[in-house]
Amino acid sequence: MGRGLGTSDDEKWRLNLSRVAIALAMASSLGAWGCDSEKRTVDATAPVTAPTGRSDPRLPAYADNKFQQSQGGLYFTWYGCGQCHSQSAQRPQNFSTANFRYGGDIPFLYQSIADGRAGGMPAYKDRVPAQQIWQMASYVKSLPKTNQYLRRREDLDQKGQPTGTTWSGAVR
Amino acid sequence: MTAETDLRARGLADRRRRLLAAWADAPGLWGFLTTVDHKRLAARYIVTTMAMLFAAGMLGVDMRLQLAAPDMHRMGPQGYDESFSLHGSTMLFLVSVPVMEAMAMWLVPLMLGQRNMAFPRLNAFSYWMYLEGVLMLWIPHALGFTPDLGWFEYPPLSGPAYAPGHRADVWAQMITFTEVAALCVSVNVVVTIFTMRPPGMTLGRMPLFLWGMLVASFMTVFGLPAVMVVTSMLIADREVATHFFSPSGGGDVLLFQHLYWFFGHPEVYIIFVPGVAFVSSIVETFSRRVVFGYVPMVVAVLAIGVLAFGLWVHHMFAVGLPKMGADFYTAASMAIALPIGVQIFCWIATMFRGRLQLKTPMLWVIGFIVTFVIGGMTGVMTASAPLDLQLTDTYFVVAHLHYVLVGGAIFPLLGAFTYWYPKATGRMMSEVWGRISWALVVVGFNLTFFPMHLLGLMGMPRRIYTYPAEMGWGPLNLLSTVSALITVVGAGIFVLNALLSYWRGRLAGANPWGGSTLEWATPSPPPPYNFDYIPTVDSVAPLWTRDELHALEGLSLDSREVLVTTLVDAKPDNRQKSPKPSLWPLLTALAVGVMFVGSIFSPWPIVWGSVPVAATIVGWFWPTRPRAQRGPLRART
Ligand code: HEM
Ligand SMILES: [Cu+2]
Repeated sequence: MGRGLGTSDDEKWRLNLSRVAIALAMASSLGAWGCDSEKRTVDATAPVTAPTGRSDPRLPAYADNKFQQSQGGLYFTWYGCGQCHSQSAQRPQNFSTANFRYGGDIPFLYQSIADGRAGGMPAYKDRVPAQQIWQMASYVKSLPKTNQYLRRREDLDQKGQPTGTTWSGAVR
Repeated sequence: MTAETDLRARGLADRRRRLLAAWADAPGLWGFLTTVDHKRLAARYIVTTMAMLFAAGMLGVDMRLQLAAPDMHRMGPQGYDESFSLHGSTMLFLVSVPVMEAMAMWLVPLMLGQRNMAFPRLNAFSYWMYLEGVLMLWIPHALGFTPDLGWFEYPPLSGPAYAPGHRADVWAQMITFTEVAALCVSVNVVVTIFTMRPPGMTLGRMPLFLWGMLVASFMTVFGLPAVMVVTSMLIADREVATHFFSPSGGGDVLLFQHLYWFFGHPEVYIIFVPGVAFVSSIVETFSRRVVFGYVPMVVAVLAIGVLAFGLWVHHMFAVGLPKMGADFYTAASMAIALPIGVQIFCWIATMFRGRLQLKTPMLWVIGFIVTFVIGGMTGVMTASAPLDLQLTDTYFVVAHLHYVLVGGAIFPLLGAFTYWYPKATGRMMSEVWGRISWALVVVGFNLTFFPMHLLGLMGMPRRIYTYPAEMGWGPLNLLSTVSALITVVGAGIFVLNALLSYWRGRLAGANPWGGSTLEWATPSPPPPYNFDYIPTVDSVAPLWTRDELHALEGLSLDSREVLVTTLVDAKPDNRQKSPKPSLWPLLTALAVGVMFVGSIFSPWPIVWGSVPVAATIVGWFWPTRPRAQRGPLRART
């Protein structure tokens, strides 16, 4: 990812300039409409360590952000998580409802992914960089709130992606 | 004798007073919100599009600054993606198409000697819908989420899996707003031209300008529904998990591209054909003779209108369609150069055979011909499938599209702006500053975009935010950026000239250029009722064939009435009541806006949102006239 997805300070300043001008003219009517979920800033703060707990300052940027969730979804596919945690999986492995046995917040989910859990869940911390685990945790956290049909639709769009150790080639 | 003229003058003053009472808007804000005057609405449209042109132009310059030298990091990839997406979408959907619609809205009734268009309230509704489309794109930008997938957003990139959040929805719904707006004006223009021509203006005596606007409006009516459908399908895929564009679910991603370009290619001509219409008017006036070859000109514009719908696949040569299809679309794309060639030859013949006056509008036409011919030639090159496989997604395409869009539409537009400015404001723009801005813009433009052809041939891809120095693209990019700044200076002078002339320009009088069509027969600026008398016509250039126009009497002076004539011969047919100002178009647009905006967050606003829409439409059409006393619908007691 590197500098890739980031927004430099200079750029922020210029984008802000144009935004401020327009915002003044138009957005007064909109009041406070939070758009944090739409943000696409990362990297400068790309985490290299696990969350420290529920008050980790890095949490808000991952908790409800659509971009991070979507990135996490892609890694979820690539690392083959869907092989056990598909939409049709049995209860504890199925994430369609919010009954996570070990807690449904990012710090707990992170721990589950990084260190594994009893009963067959492997540990990924040696294979997957921290930021991607953050993103997958964010994705998993969003799943109970995701409409089941939409999740299926997203999975279908990703059908041509490699999953785990297999890749069957482009969809034809 | 004096007594008689005195009597006449008093009669005229009385007539004007009564017409004004019937047609004037309420003063102040209420009048602003309720007006159905085509001139006011069109002027509003034009001012909004110009503000958008400025904003998107600044984004263009911003991108040029970013590309001026290799390895620049004042913008990151995300910022650059947002910039070209906002630039391209704004330029096409919020500037080019609507500004042409607006010019038609302003000019068509005047050129027909009419007091308003066929559906005045639809014009008002159209403007408000357009304005909501502007806000739909730019408020999210102000709030920090800008669409970032370019001006055409192909799935699966724009589908639910790869375009998280609402950025793609914002883009798609902005299109719905603007296309509803454009459809309203187009239907209006078609009906107005078909049923409200002045007595004597048979189809064969219609000014070429009106032919152009007629064809462009028909193209809008046939082309725009495709894009509204396809963006709605995209929203449905993203929101309620339909499978239109999901191959693994039985859908087809190419369906999106086909539907998009079935609109997208004609769109270029929806922008260009009105440009052609301006050029015909300007060439005629400044050559002081009617345009050479009326029949070939009309046939050519009709041919463009038809052929334009058979070319769209040339935007998809690189997706791997069967060879046979590619050959067909290559041939069809080259065929459209013929009618355009006919037009260009007719204009040149007109200039050659007439007495050419090189006033500023005419200079813009010359800038148009030169630039557009270059754009047309690169068009023939990219239309050839094998060559396009090399050129697609390089700067060659960026150069080509700016040559045709700016050369083919913006230059004629600036010429038209200068040409009709005195009619709209009563004052002339400065010739000297007009020439200076013309020279700076035309030269600056060519120096900005010509190098991009070479960059494209050197392999520079489009939509990249920076490039390494070793590629050797630096010098040409720097030239391009510096020239873009020259263009901006020229454009700035143009805007200042327009602003200052509004107060300080020389008074124009009714017909400063000696034009031949009816809009020049009424004072500048035209009064709310446009014409004292409804003129009749006996040629394509009525003001050149008679010293005094003949007029038709019989329309009410004390209420809003317009004349309806027959389709082919323009024989007077009946008198039609023309609607009064009303707040309902605005309320309806607001109700539709709530429904459209809501529907990108959840499907339910389409259900409950239709209630206010229905209510406002009922209010709009609530009958205000007493029941008829005769005929099948008479009131029975
Ligand atoms: C001040 C004049 C202008 C400048 C400096 C300018 C510059 C640019 C630049 C730098 C790009 C991005 C190229 C890339 O990275 O691929 C671009 C794209 C584009 N421009 Fe312009 N432009 C100008 C005026 C216009 C006008 C007047 C129109 C249309 C009427 C227009 C339509 C477009 C479109 C459709 C794109 C493609 C966007 C996309 O890739 O999705 N531009 N322009
Ligand atoms: Cu095309």
